[in-house]
Amino acid sequence: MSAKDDLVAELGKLGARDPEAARLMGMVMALAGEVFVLKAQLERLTRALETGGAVDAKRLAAAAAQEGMTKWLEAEEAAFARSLTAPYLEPDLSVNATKWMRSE
Amino acid sequence: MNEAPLSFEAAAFQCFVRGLRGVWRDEAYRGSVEAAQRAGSDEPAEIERKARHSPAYSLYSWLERHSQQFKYYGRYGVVRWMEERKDTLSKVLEEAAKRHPQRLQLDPALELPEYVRAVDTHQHGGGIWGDAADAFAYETSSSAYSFSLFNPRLPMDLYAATAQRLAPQAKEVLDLGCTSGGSTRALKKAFPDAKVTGLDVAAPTLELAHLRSLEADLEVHFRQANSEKLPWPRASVDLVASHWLYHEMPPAAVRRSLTEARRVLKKGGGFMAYDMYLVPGGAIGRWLQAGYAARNNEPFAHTYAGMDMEKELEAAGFKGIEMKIAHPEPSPEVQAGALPPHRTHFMTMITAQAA
Repeated sequence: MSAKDDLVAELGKLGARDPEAARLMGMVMALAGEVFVLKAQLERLTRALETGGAVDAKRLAAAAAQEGMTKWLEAEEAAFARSLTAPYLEPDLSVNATKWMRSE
Repeated sequence: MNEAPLSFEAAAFQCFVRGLRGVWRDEAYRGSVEAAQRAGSDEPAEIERKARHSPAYSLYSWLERHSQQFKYYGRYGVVRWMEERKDTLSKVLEEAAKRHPQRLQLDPALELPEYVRAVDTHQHGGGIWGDAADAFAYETSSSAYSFSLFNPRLPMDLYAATAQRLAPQAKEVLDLGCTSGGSTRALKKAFPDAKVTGLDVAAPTLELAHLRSLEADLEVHFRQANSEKLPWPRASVDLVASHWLYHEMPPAAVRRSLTEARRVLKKGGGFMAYDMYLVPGGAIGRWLQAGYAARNNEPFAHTYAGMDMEKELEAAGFKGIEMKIAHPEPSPEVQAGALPPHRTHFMTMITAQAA
């Protein structure tokens, strides 16, 4: 095997060297992404509420009891779980194109 | 103009992905280089086998592959976002195509080369040639993620200045592989009196290029064509330029493109190619570049870097060939063979004249 072919063969393994670790890493990063978005939303909301003086404990409790809040939780729990586990089920969405690295 | 602005949540998620790319570019890269140095080999394959046990390289290679997939296909990914708005985006391009239609020449019969259809370039599933959503996704992702080109204006300014130096009196200018036309517009500004035409094989990106040029009030022409078979007569063009093109083509296609460039150029006409070609850092630099090519589905970045472009250009009929890393400007240490402190694309400017 030439040195060039040897390198392409090694690199062509992509995530296959430790697929379990790659899957778990994908889940962790997907979760971290959701947390980042949530933090951003919370920061935005906090700033808005502080500006308007709109928050108190009674209003928060009333919002939690709304039917719309319940529906949101139902929808979100499904979307969140699927987003979190998708990288485990499909750790690598792209084709393996390394064979083209041998093009002449 | 932003036809499909990301939601607050999608934009926040893309910030997160950029943060991951920052770790890849800095800490994970530096740890990988240290692991490669410990490997003590000047064979990239051997470096790969020894460095893979390093946690830093494990993270680096994972991020290189998968943060890109997060960018496109995560819950808030750019491709998903644009796909959900495809009908709206298609209408935007259809309406734009009705304005100054003579500036946009599409060829529905053009057959895409297999190396374009099969590769899933940049891990953008289905590539940038499919539909309006793909074109907008490419534009959004490429403009937001130029991790190594910290000031996006600089490469365009360099591109235009080099073109002016090469062919100051140019009247007919081609920009090969123009995608959404940023480089073509830079050339038009450099040659306001010339007919400047951007070419690409992907119709949707040309339609988007047309839209952006209308918005910029620039009379730029776009034509769907393959650089391997240019629909221009022999000796009819003053300057053939390309911007990030040849690292997307296998060597045989690059050769055909060079031959075509020479055929359409007038004697003494200018040729320039701005692309990833020269790689600093010796064996470790070549290992990193090959890894990038493999993991980001840019296999021809590997084969292009392995071509002897001086020899290829001479064989195609060019003279006065010059090539150097043009951007970012290498430090004296990097020029002397060291690797840079951050992972970056070093861009090579190749220039020549038609003999």
